[in-house]
Amino acid sequence: MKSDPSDSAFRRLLADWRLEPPPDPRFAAAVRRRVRAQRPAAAWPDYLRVHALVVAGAVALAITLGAWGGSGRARTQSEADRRALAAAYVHQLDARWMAAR
Amino acid sequence: MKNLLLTLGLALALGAASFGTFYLLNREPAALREAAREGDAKLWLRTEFHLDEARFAAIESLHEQYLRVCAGHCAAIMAAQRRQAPSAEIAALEATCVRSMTDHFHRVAALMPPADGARYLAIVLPRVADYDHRGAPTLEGSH
Repeated sequence: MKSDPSDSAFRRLLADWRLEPPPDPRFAAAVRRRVRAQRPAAAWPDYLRVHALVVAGAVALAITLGAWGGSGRARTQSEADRRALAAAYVHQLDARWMAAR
Repeated sequence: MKNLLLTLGLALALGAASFGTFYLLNREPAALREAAREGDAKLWLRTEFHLDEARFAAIESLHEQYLRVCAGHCAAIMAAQRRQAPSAEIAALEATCVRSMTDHFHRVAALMPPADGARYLAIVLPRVADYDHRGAPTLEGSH
């Protein structure tokens, strides 16, 4: 069978043809996102272990702030109560104050 | 995200527990809290200055005696104010009241252990001196 000369030209064209699609700049990010989405979420204890330093810092800060706030609140309230009671004690013995009422 | 929220919740819970624990550990003794709640100045005196039965009874007796003296001063000042006596006369009556009150506080302090007596005077005497004629002093006097 005799081949058509246009056939061999077509074959050459196919052999030389290279597909060069433009690279997608978001391709890597999209792959990472899909990998992350399919990965099962870490259990909380594992999360705590992985971020042990940050978690320890946050807990220490929370306890320190709580201790400082609790002591301060108790001290403020105690001082206010003592001031009020001392004033009431003196006023009940102060004729000037009684006369001014 | 869920793990982060759980961790923040843990930190907040521990902070709140720490606040509560340190508040309870540092607040005033129960008797002082009761005195503040009831506005009971005698209970404050007894607790704040560690008075035993005998000392407290002696101070209470002085207190009752002084209340009669104080009522006399009060009546004299009010009578002078009513008849619009000269301000010098009212000032003299008030000075008598202050002297008498200061003597009373010194007598009370003498019945306390020395350190408590000194602390008592340091608390009450400034309140006598701080009296403000612009109106009855508030309960939030200086310490």
